[in-house]
Amino acid sequence: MDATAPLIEVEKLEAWYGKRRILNGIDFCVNPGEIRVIMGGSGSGKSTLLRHLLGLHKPRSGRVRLLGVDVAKASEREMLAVCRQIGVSFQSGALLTSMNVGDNVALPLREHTSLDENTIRIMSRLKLEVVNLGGFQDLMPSQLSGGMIKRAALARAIVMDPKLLFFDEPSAGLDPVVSAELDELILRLRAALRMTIVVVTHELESAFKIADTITVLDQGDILMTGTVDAVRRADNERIQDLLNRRPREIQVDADAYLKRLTEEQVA
Amino acid sequence: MTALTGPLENLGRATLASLAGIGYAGMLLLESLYFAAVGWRVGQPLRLRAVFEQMRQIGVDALPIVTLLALTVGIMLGIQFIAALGEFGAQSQVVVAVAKSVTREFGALITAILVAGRSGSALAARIGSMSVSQEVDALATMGIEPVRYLAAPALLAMLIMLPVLTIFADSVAICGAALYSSPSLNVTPTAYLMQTLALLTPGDIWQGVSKSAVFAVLITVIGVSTGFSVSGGAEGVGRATTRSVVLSICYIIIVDMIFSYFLNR
Repeated sequence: MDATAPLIEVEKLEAWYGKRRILNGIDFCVNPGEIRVIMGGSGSGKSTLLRHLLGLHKPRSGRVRLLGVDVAKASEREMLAVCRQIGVSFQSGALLTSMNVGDNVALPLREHTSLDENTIRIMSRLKLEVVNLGGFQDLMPSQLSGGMIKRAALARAIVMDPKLLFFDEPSAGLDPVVSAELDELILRLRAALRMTIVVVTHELESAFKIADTITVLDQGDILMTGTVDAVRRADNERIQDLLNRRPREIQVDADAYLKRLTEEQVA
Repeated sequence: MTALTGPLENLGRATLASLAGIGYAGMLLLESLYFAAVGWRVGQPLRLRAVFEQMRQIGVDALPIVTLLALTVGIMLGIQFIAALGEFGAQSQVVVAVAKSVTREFGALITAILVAGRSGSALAARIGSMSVSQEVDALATMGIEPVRYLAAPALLAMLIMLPVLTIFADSVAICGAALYSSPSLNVTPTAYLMQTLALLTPGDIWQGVSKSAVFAVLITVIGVSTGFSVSGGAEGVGRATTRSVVLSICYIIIVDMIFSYFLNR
């Protein structure tokens, strides 16, 4: 795979939860070295898109290619090779609660490499230093604050030096100072480790600060993908609603409304 | 019309759901066995350390409670058989009655029910809370197959430890019975035990042990599958834990009956 080929390619991706369509056949593409922010309100489908990008859901129709590998058709071995080259920091951190912070960060190294224990310890402590958690390796996840959990999760995500880093809602539930620090950290990581980073967020401020390009999702459609300036200047009404925190005007369909009210319960 | 079709529809849904559950559990069992056997070839090796850790939790940590219950059951059987067989003046048959019923039935059954309550529920709770807090997703995206990491070590540990615990429970229960009944039978406990050993055939022990291997698979697969299919936060985890214990114990007793029927024909 050559160096300029897109790391993520999504073609006509559709996603459904039961009878509800979440993603309406979207196309999406991320190039090496960029920081892409996927922005959208609650229920816009951004978490669903992320789960498809990570291969946690198989697409109903359409295609997701991650580092050149089709995640729906990949063999176990191919998928494992992809997983070793991506890092994911989940919204809740998702640290294994039965292990201390150091073991959590060292887990991918222990599982995927045959390095000796000393090297693993040093490498995982190095990554903890990168996220300013040096010396915290012996604490359990339950003893950490929200911001520390996110940073520890980030350390685990980058411990294998991935090509591609996913970050789900970095600033959700954090105070402004801590979330600004996390934004700085993301920028530093790109500068230091040349990673391609995909951030899913609904925080405008943080999105504008870190993004090279922004993809705006709304109700399962991509409204636009462009640079920060292009998004700011966009004349799309929904984008401006999102930027200016305007409540959307919900059109009520009288027939559908009546139907929802009077419909009998379906078990 | 709905009054007629409603219950039918519910019945259909319930049937489909339980079929899906059995299918899912079967798939988990096959996947666990697959990873245990050839996982190392596809980059998903089973860690011996994890297996030993599970063996400790399932087996060694259960020793005190297994000892207590097995001893109690042994004494209880001694009391009942002496009373029941005494009515026919067949007190001397107590030894053989206790020996056969413990090794064929009670040792395996008591141990399995105990382990289902201790370790089956713990498996469901652990995996359930991990699914709820996205830890299972995190494992998958790290390239660590959750079934290999969480289910396969438990299955292997259970398959080793449950038969071992069963044999242990058999001997403790027989000792309990010996302690209680030897005075009434006018023999020493040692003589009682020697007589037991002379009466038992390898087939008796095998019957209990082979059942316990089946129970081990049931407990693990039910615990793991209810854990993985948790939805709905902390309440969901609680429900899954209860469900795993109830289901395990039901299946253990049903399967035990079926096995007893076929093994004693």
